[in-house]
Amino acid sequence: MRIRIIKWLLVVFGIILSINVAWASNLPRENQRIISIEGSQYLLEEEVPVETDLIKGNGDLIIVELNASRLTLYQNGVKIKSYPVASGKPTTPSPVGEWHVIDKGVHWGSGFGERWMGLNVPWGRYGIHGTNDPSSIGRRASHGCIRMFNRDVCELYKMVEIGMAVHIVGDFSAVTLRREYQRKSTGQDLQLVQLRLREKGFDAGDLDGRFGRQMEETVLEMQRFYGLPLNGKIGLSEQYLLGLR
Amino acid sequence: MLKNQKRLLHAILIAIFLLVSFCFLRELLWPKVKVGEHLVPINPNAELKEGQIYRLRFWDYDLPLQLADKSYHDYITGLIEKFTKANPQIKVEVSFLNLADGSARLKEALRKGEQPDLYCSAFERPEFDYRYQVPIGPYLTELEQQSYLLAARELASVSGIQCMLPRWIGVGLWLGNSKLLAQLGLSVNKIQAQGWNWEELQQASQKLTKQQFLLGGNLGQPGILKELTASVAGTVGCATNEKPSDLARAFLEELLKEKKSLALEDPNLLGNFFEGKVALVGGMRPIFYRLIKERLTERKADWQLVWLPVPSRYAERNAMIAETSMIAVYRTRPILDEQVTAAMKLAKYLGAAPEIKVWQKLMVIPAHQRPLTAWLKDQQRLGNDCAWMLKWLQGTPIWHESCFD
Repeated sequence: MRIRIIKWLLVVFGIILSINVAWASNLPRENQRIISIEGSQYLLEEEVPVETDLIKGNGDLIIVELNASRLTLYQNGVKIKSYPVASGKPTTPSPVGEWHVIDKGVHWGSGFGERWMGLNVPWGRYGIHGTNDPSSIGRRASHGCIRMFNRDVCELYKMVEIGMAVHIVGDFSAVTLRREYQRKSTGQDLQLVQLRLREKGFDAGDLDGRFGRQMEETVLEMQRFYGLPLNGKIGLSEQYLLGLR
Repeated sequence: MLKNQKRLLHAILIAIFLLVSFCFLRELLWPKVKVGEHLVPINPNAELKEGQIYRLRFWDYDLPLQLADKSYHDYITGLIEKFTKANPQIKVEVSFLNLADGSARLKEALRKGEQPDLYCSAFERPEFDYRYQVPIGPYLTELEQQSYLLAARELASVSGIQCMLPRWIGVGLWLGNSKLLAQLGLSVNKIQAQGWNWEELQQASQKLTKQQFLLGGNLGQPGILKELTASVAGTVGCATNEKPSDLARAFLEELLKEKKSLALEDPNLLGNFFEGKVALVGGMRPIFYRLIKERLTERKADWQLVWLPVPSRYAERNAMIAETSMIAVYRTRPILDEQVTAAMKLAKYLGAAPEIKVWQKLMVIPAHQRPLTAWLKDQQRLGNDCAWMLKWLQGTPIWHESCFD
């Protein structure tokens, strides 16, 4: 009798476990294939084209300070509100750089809380969203996204428009440079190149790890200024001159 | 009725005849200057009408230079503000061009007849436009002409008429690795004091090991080939003729036949140079050399970067203008000569602007006496690089002593 009960309990437990596993496997996770409630589909490392109307924005700005675990909204240069956030763990850091909001959604799943605001990061699917783990706020706890309390993200969601600039401020990860960068190159190492160009007085646009038309024009400008061959690429010579090697 | 119609027709015909005659006579009698094969109308005696406002469009390049407390953009904007305060009749709209496509934009504007009143070039002498450009020479007094470096004036001239105002000149220089040059038997002190010739360079190349390179940089035209050609011709400036260029080409081919060179396009050039494997870099603009020096300082190399004159064919002191910036004035309104007068006023003001930090950053020499005098006085702060360059230039035709009377 006892053995029968145990067997039945095991079976029931197994069924419940299977259901949970099946349900959990359908949950959207950070940086994986996602289908938003509006029906848009996103794949890992999808590249949002640089030349798109989505990223124009209206001059308002969100600044996320990773070291302080704070997100601050500015409108017309005026600080509107600041919120505590959670950012990426050291093994899955949040993407430092200058991004734009490219999509918004509601109820993406409990892991994402009440709201989602996606960013145009070329090497993964990152965004600002709510959470079902409020104790993680204020710590480095996520897979790279910026987590907020649900009440905060709902409030912010109303004030954010597609295209709004989001600057994530922190330490850049160590990267290995490639021998050459050209139009359509993407990557975190490219951000270092963009930063160095900016420091030298050549504005290549956002620090977004994308080699778009603006960056190509900036590189040509730099090459013209220093008398280098005009090819619009960042090769070894340019990297030496910029102090990257 | 018919009589009145006839009278009206006669009146119209007379009016047309008078208009055509006026235009024809104006064209015939209007002062002109011959530039090449073309007659270009000018009117240096036109004066600004009192109470009239003249609006000028000025195009300059947004050079990525940071001066002590402002950018180049702010410097130019400030300069224009000072000019318009001193000349309230003249309003100036400044546009900053991108280095990558600025000259193409000017060409397009000239093609469409939408040219600016003034254009300031970067690193090159713009082509003279016979339709719209106004030669500056007739608008300068003799004293004003003498205020510019002779070599720069000559470069700004077409068929003996000064057509543009030179702003600065950049001199052809080479960079050297002091340690490697010593290994090759070349004395940097001697070269910097007296110069060197092709034969010395050829002999030095024989002592290179397999891993070492003699020469890197812009090997072609413009570049090292142009510099060597100028050293053969023994003239200052960018003009070449066939024989000197043939000689220079033959010498360069002979010198580099064992592949002892690295072209600028070669991605390994700077890496090898920083590792001390390349003896000389040439054919580049001075700002490039400045950047190399900054990078080398960061790397704390065990050898010193030295500046050298271009080796001369005949062991003479020579220097050539490798690059320049010129101010060009264009006619934007067909019969309004006062507009040109206003533009000339602004051109002279910009050419004589006393600020020298911009030119120091670019490692170029201001062409007008006023900033040049300040540049010379400041040579103590310029450091060894420019002080050496100055000493070298004082023995060459570029440095016409009359500038400093």
